[in-house]
Amino acid sequence: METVSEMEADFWEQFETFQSVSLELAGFRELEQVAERALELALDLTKSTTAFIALVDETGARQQVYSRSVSPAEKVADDEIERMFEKAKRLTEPVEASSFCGQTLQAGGRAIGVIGVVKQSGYTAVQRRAFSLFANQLAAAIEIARLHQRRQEMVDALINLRAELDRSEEQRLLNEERAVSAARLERAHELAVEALLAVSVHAGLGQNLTDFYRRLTGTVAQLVGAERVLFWQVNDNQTLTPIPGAHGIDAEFLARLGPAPCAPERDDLTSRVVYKDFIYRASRAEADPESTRVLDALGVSTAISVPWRAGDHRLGLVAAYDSVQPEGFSREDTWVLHKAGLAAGLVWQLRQAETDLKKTVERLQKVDSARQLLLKNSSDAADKIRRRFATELHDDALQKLTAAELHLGRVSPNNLKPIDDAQGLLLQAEDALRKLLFEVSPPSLELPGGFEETIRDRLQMLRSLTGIQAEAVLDLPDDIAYELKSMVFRQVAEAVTNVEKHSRATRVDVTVKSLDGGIYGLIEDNGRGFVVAERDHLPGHVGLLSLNERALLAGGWCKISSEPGTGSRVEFWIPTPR
Amino acid sequence: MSEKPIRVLIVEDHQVVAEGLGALLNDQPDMTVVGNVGSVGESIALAAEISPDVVLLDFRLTDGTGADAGAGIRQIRPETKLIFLTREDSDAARFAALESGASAFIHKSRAASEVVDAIRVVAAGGTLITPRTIAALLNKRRSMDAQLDSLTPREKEVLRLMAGGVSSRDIASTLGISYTTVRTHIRSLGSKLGVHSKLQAIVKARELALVE
Repeated sequence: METVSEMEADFWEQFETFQSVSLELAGFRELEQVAERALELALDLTKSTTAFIALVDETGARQQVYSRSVSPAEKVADDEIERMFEKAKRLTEPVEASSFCGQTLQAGGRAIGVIGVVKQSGYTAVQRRAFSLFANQLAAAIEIARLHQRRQEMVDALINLRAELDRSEEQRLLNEERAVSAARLERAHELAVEALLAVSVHAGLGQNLTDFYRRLTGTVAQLVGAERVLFWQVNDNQTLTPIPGAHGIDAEFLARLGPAPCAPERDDLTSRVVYKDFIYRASRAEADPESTRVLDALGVSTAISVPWRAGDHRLGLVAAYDSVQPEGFSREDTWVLHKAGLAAGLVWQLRQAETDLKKTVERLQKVDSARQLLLKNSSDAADKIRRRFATELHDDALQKLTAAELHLGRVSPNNLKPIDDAQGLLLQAEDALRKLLFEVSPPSLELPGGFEETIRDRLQMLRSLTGIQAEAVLDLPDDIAYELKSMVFRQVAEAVTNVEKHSRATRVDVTVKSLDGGIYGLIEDNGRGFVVAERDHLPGHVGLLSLNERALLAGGWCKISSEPGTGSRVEFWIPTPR
Repeated sequence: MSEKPIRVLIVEDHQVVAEGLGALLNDQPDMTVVGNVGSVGESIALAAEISPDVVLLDFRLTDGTGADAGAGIRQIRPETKLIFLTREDSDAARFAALESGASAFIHKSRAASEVVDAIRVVAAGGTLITPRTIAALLNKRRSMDAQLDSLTPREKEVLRLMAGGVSSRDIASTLGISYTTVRTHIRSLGSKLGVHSKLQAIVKARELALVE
């Protein structure tokens, strides 16, 4: 039989156990852990075969059921738990000597669930009492765990909320940044449009390329906020040189800038910008060694440069220096510069084409007026030749013939002497006619060796007519077209006639020879000379013009140089047609 | 020979011709060459000094025309007979010679055969210029004067420039008038003078003594 002291001892032991178990239970934070550990302890402490915990929500509806058995065979079925649960709920007093022991779990004045154990041998009053205490401890532990769980949930919610907030903030910042960059892009677009507009306006307004360039660089400088804007152009010798006359670029600045090497295969900064569309942006504050060198060489604190091209044609680069903004040039600035460069490239090409066209037109006009002048001169010259021919015929040969006739008129059987006089005059008339004929058409020009001979004959005439000492150095081929020989002879004869008529020279040196696929002539005298610029007002100027035009029309050149007191020098070259 | 030889002054700037003439005339028993000069100035001075009966004149001289020389000589000695011996046979030359008081006008190609006879005729007070020639020359002169009078000063300018080979556009810029105006003047010249080309213009301008 069980004594009270034994019972007490058993109770206290049980009580101690429950006490330590309650402490252990209170240590758990997870409801799951509490329930599991509680079932384990309940089985262990009450030596039961099955234990269960059923939790209800505030409305009394079943929320969770935890159960445990010492062997799987004795596992409680769900309907059994239901039944026991109903039974436990109705319990107000523990049932003596029953195989079931259930206890409601009370926390904060309300039932939060039921814990029950089952044992075939039934439970003692002490066991039931201890189990009741355990249930109370468990209820508290469950409540604590629930609170923990709720707190954790709240913490998690808070964390989530915080994360959500962070995400929103991030999104907000992102949106803001997007808005700012959109605004910047829009601004850049506006600036670029302004740049394009400026290019087109300047293209229309600029009187010439220099003027256009000055206006354009000024506007671009304003758009990108630069102190200076400069175009660099690629030259044929693979160098890059600045184009003078740009905005903010004075002589001193320009003097610092030498030609920079620039070629498609090179990898330096300049070549990369020009040929590989590299966009360069540098400021002294964050410059690498290469950029520092560049900035030092330019003597600027910030710089951007972009390619300057017209279609595939690389013209050079456009650069802006010394931003007026404290933060230096922005990416948008390079963009605007790029657009301005592109537009300027096209206009530049257009302008250059216009300039080229203008030059061509001017050249054509010059050629045309030269042709017209020559036509007029040649008709003048032909007229002159005709008149000279007529005058000489009249003054010389004809007079001699008249005189001969007069002498013949005197002849009578008693007087035959006039025949001799007439004969002499006829011979003189013949000589005069020969000389005239020579000038009109040199007789030996077509004969072998006649080219040089004709020139020598003309110089011989000069000697005999004027006493001017004439020396010739001739080295001429004979196998050239008659037209060319005639043209060269006329050049020499024209120059010699000028010497004869106007120079008052005592000596003339004539060189005519083959040179560079043509005939070169040099006629140099020691006469009084003249001012070449005033030659249009000089006697014989038509002759000088003809010298020039004849050479030009034959595809060659003619140079007349002289100064008063130093003689004169006529040089010409006429190509030999292939 | 009882009669005094005809005293002849030769005014000729070509020495060979002057010599030939001198020899020819000196061969004639009734003639003697009293002087031989080549310019207008010399001829007047010498004529005043030696009083030739007949002066044989070339038309083209170094300092003027034979007509200038003849007129000058006749002014000093109106009785001096003038014979023009020249290759110049334009109406203008003939008329100038006539005005200066010429008694004969002989082409140089006929010199030897005609000149001696002409000197004799003229020295005897005759003339080789027939009234018909004079009438024809005067008629021509009248028509020339009428043509000249019909032209405005501007048209004369245009004709002179046309004859000088100046293009219509250059005439416009030379005279400071428009090209269209020049064309109008040229059309007017065409209807007044029958001038339609540069060549005709040259001929007509010479005829009218607008150019030499």
